[in-house]
Amino acid sequence: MKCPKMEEIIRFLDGELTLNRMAELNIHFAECPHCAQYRDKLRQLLQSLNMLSIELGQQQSKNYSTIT
Amino acid sequence: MTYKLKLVPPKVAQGIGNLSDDDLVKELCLGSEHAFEILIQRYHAIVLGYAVRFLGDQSLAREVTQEVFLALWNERNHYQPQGRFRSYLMTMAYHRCHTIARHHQIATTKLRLVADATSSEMLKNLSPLEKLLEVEQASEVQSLLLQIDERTRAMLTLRFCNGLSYKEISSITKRPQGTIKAQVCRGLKRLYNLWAKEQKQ
Repeated sequence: MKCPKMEEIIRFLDGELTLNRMAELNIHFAECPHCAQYRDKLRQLLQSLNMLSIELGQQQSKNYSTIT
Repeated sequence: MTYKLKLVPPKVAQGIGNLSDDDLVKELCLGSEHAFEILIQRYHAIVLGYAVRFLGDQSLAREVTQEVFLALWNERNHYQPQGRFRSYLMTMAYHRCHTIARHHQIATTKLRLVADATSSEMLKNLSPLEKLLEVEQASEVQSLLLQIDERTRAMLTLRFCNGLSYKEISSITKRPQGTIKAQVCRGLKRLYNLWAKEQKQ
């Protein structure tokens, strides 16, 4: 299998591929360390974005008692 | 014009605390302040978090959040209960953030990230050093996010920070789902390239 393009790895992580295609990519990731590393870095980036949602909202909201 | 909006602790509104959003809005339409308080408790962090990430300025974000909830109160009869309250609220936040961003021309504003992350669920099981690294990385990603154009940044934020579905984002932004998916993909690619560049330096 040819290495997937970055767009497809993004769609893979975003859950936007069919189950069959996701299975194919999973097999490919097991065989291709380069793509697996790419996937892991993108996943790390998404986790950072997700963490922002927790930090920025909750930390701010904790302190509110009035909105002035 | 100054508003004072008192937010009451959860115990005040225990009786209706388990109602769905739509049922709370029905109560809101009848003038229930308790319903309003519960909706604020449920969604304040979500709206504020979105605004902070989008605007990169906590003071402006608080202003937007206040406006959104005041608009919810003032225009409470406009909402049609269809189980989409979150989308309705995020639509207001989305439009107000864009208006404020244009007004203040803050696309390049640097964020003062709240770095005290020790209470975060995601960080609970990490060592202090790992926590620090996670927070630093999130801070870096936040500043890179502000380098992305306004519309794409909004899509990325709604999708990956707020966790909204493409259907919900489509409803908020009035753009087709296919367009949004393509924009999210392009935006993430751009963000990744910026991030990779930073890491090399």
